Amino acid sequence: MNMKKEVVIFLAEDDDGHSLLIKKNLKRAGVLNEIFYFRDGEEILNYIKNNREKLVNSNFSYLFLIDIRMPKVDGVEVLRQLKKDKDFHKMPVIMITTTDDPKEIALCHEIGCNNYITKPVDYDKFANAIQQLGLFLLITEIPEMII
Amino acid sequence: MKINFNDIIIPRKIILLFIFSIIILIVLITIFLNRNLSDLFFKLWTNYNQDLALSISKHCHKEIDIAQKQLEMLSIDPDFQNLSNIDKIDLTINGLPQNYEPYKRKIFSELLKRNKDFSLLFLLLPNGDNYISYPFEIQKSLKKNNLSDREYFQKVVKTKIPYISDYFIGADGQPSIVIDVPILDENNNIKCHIGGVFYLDTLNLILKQITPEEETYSMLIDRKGNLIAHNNSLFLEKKEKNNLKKHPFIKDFLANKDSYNKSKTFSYIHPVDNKEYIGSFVALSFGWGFGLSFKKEMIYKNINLQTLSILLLVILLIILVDGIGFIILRRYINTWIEKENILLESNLENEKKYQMLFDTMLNGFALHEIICDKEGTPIDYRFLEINPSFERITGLRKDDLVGKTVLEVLPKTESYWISQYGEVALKGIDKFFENYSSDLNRYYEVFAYCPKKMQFAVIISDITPRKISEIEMNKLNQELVLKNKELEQIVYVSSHDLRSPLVNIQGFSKELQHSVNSIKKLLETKEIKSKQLEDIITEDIETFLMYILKSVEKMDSLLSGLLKLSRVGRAALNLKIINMNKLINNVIKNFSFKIVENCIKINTEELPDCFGDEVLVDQVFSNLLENAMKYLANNRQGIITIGGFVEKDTSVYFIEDNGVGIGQEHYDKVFELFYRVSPRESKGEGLGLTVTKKILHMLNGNIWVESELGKGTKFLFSLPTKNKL
Repeated sequence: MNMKKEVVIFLAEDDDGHSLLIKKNLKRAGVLNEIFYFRDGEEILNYIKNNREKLVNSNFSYLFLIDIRMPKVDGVEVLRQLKKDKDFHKMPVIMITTTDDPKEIALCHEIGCNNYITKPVDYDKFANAIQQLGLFLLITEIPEMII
Repeated sequence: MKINFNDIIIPRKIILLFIFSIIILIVLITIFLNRNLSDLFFKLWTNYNQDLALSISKHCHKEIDIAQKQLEMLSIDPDFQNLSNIDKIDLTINGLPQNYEPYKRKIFSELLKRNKDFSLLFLLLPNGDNYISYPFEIQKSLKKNNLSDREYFQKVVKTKIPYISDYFIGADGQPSIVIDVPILDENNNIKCHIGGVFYLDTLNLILKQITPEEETYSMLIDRKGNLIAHNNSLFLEKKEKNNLKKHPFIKDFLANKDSYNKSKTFSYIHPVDNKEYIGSFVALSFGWGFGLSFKKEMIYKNINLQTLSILLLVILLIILVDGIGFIILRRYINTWIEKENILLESNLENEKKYQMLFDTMLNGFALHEIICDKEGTPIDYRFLEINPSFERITGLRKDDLVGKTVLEVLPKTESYWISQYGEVALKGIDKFFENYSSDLNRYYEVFAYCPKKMQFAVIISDITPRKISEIEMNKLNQELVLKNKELEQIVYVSSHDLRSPLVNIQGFSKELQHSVNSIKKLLETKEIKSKQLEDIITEDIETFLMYILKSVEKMDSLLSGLLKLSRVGRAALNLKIINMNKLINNVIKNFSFKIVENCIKINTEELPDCFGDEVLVDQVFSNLLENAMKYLANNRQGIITIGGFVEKDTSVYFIEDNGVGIGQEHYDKVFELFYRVSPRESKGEGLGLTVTKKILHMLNGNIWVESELGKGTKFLFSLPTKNKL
């Protein structure tokens, strides 16, 4: 990935509340990147399909935050499609889910997700996880942003 | 009735006779083979001998040919020509004829020096004049023949082919032969004869070296059939010499010009030891013959020895195998006798026992004969005999059964009974199976076997109670599996869907706390910035509270959904045959307001009855109809068709709409708990189809979906047509 490219976050989450919480916590952790919101798997896949050229040729690179349980097309399917896509298979994908079912985690890793975050009921843990995610974003993708 | 070994003495004799005839056969074959073998051996040996004889004779011939050529060459030797002209040489000295003998001798000694193979040379002229290097040997021979030398030579000179004229021990003690070569002029008239006494050393050496075996002879034979020499000694004593004359065929063979340089085999009595020999003879062109012979018994001695040993070995083997075989046979026969005796003893007793068993056994027993059509396909069977238990188990009376066919007694008998039994009776295979008879409404366990072609016997027991409990158990098992699956789904749902609102509640509560802290900070500054305060309260706190409340609501709806699902099937089932046409009319009536409001067209076909719980089936139809109306397309009039048909022993119903349709990837998921294809576009808990599926499983039914996106959806479900038990 080109270090100089700015990172845009694609967030696919069917629960509006979760989206808002993630956004707030990312901001609080210092992640000020632009976030694109999608409400299910179908939406995000359609968006990529319809804007492929624009996305590929832009100066941005992309990070995907994907919820697993979504209507129409679920997160695992989105992950599978992304990892099959010749334009997007190198972009980082982080799965977010409410379950810590080891089978599901193993499946996502097998397909090739870069990280897996369980939404904890404990808010502190959740915030911490989001902050960790923010840190991860800052260090690996957009070091200039710290200043 | 007991059998003992003596009773079967006849078979034993037959076996022995058989074995002996085999031995004799083998001996005959061996003798036959042996004869062929010796013929073959004899032929091979003779061929070999002939070839060898030809080859040796060629060597001999070559030597003599060379000698002849030497003599021929002499005719153009000037010295030798002088001999014939010697009379014309003027040897008169002082008018007196001089003795020319010394001169002649001088010439001969020169010639002999040049031709060392010869011990004597001579020249004969047609008029009888002769010039001989050392005359006395010839003269000896002349005396023997009572001829004057002139007469002798005149006789000799008439011969126009080179030949061997005599043999003897020469003056120098060497075995010799006389070779005579006529020299012809251009007109084929005899000019003169040149002769020489030839040392036989060379020939002797060839004979000795080539002759292979001790009991083999190589021979030289003169044209009269005299044996002149063999490899052991040259120039035999007179009595040995003459014995070959007893075999004129040899002489004839040698005299015949056609046989020159060819070989022929004769059997003859050899003069040396008076034994029978086989000889291959070759006629040499110069008049003599060559023979190579071997003792006849030599061949047979070898062959006979081999044959005898093979025969002995074969006989020994047969005796050995026969002996062991007989021991085994005897043991086998003894065992067989024992078995037969035991069987015989028990047979009578058994017969009684069997009759008792037949009458009192708990299993039903029946004997039948199969009835086939023209193609040999079994189409029916006739009862021949049945036992009391068979009557009890089937509930049919013996008098009504025996002599009748099954289709006469039980016309609805399933074809699989007849085909199964047909296989037993026609192919003779045993069968063990369980099956259902609708005529008797019972399950039977059947063992069928074939006691006789075209017949079959069955041993049956009624397993209906067991079968019923088995079916019940299977049903329970299936239910258990379903319950398990449901439970798994509930666990999954609680880990996903139930936690989801909790995440919101807790997350937004924390956010509220943040907001409260922000407000506190603002208040501490004592400088109340009402705008900021307002922002926090209206934008943040209100939003957060909204989410929290919505999550609580969601949580409540999920929990009540779970409760609803758990309530399905808790009430006792009231199973009966349901008139579906009546039921569907009621359902449609309940939805009439909505149907009219949305201008929906409902087509109802004639529906078959089914076996189930009326309340639950009503719920199934209601759920499916509600679903169909909910997902109709906005751009066209909704048409819903309800129909059904019977397939085997299940009634299948369908509710087909022309609505939005479902993608194939969602076919299975739509039945999952809380699953909704597009939650934002319609209301609902994601519970209807889950409940419907659960109800149908409880009633031994099933549900599935066929759909095409944008065209419509067809939900199909099945229920049993009647109570199976």
